[in-house]
Amino acid sequence: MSLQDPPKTKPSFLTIDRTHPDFQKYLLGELPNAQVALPIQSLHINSREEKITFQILNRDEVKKPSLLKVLARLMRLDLVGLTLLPVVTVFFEKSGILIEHASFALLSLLFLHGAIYCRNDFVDHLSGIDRLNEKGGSRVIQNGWIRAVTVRRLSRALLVLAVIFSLPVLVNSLNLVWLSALGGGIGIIGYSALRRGRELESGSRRTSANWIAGDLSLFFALGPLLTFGANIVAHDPLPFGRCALLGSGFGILAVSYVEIRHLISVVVDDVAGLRTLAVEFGFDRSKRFVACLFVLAGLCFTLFLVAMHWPWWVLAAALMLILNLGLAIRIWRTSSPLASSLPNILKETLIVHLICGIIVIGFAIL
Amino acid sequence: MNLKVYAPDDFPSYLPKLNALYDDLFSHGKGFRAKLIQRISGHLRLPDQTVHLLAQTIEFIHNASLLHDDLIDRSPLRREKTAAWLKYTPEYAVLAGDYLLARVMVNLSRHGNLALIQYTAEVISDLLEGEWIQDSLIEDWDVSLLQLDRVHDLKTASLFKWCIRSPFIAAHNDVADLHRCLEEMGSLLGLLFQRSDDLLDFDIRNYEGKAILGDLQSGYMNSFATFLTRDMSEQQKARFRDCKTKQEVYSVVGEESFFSKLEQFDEHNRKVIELFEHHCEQLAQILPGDVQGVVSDFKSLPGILYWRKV
Repeated sequence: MSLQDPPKTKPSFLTIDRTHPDFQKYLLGELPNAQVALPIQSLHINSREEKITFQILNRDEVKKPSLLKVLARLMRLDLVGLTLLPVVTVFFEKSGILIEHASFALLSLLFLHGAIYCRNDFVDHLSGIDRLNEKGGSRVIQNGWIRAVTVRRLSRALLVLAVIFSLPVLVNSLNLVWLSALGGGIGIIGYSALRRGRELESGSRRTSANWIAGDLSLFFALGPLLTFGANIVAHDPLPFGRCALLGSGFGILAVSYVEIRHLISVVVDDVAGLRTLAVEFGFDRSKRFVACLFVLAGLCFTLFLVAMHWPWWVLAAALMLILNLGLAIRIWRTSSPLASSLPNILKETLIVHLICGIIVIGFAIL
Repeated sequence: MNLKVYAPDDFPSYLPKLNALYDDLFSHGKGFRAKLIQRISGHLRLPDQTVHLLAQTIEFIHNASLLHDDLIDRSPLRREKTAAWLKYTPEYAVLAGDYLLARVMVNLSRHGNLALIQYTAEVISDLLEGEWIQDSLIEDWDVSLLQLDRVHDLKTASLFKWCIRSPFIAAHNDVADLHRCLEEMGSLLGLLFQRSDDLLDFDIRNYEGKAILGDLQSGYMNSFATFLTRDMSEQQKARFRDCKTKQEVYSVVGEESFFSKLEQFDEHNRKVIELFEHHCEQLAQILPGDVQGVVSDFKSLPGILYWRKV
């Protein structure tokens, strides 16, 4: 139960349903500037006929961190490694890559990363998913730090910046246009599938195909598409096979991260009727699947390193395998979706993703 | 009202150990949930037989969960007496719990209110799921308050939701808005009750002088323990886990710090009570005039359940 500290006067609550004329205003945060309406998370299952209770506070009563911290949290800079590291590792393979091209590419991706997460936060807030799951999203809107309507505007602005910064890169690497179009297509299909799987209504739209399509598009978007794209920008320092292996390793770790999040929220998701891998196959089978993903990721990175700088590649491959196997074993042994070990494994997945990236970069420098 | 026997075939005399086992368990209970049902049913003017059935149902479900809980946790005492699994056998404790749940289904199905049967089955299912998940958290010393809230919503709150919704279902009142509001209120009541119970384990507002630190010794971090230890180092947490007395807890946490955290915990729950009061106001707008008395009864519940005011 997440309630803000009470104001000096008795806190005010307001419960309204979706037919109320001001419902959208409260949800978007379009109140008079002095006020903030925080949707109260409900342990009760929501439906389309739901009523939402808002806690109404004065803006100066909302405790919030600095704007920089808020933006960093909103744009999920803690996850930026998932987006940028695959690209950075490929750029390091190319000695003498033009700094301008690399910079524009990375900035474009950074803004795209921010745009997508802002958009996701906004949509999940409106649909109620982030009210069901107190750990869902960045919580920036639910905490009253930024209004939902501002997040939507920010998402659009970041998308425009992403496009602007991508133009010089696309102009210099025309093949990237095709890959970007493909990536855009996969992204749209995957995003739509994920959104359909996350809709809070019953019916045939919520099928297994949604989460499968979502996972596959995530794998490609945060894996091979990034490495192949970077490879084109850097004028093909990596052969196709190794580029695919590197991308697959990163992509599989990204999917593992998301599936662990789904394992953590499986109780809430199942009760709400959301369709994820964890809900579809149950906690036990899903955690084993994620364990296998870690092993697969380790193998991809190992194969990528094969025959590079003997004997160091053996040591590096062993380290990568050990790290991934370690996570696989720990997740295999997890006994409950509410176990405290799961959030730790989630954080460590990002760390392993980073370490694998650093090892690959290290070899490129060698 | 004799809650043990509703139908003539409840607790047949040819099962002597069952009768003694249940009498042992039931005799020291406060029957709070049954009394709550009786109060609400009074406002709805339900027939006495229906009230009897509802009161027996909730007490049977609650006592069944206690019988199974004590065995799962290996608790030696229940209501200041030797727990059923220890005094009789674990097998009898399991069977007795199953028997109570079976009688609930028999009596409810004979009564014939399908909505009530369905809802009761769902609540029992939720209760079991909560128990299952809670059991998976034994010896998980880093469990968060949010995770515990989810367990308590399934386990504790589901019974309170049943208490406040079932009289309306028995009265064939199926207004969706009403039940959503009651469901929300039941969640909040369950949360408050559980958190108060967790405070009792640290001898806070322990007016009945119940045994303390039972949860910790069973390897379970309750909500207040989680709140107390959330900023602690691993060494401090390890020392906390080994505490056997209140004084040891004070020495690990710091007595001043302990009471400061208690104030913060109480403040946190005051906000929950304020939210509950808001829902009472919502309920008053939904209920017809002749049953508005229910709202004032509801308003007194946080005081009883959380602050333990009689």
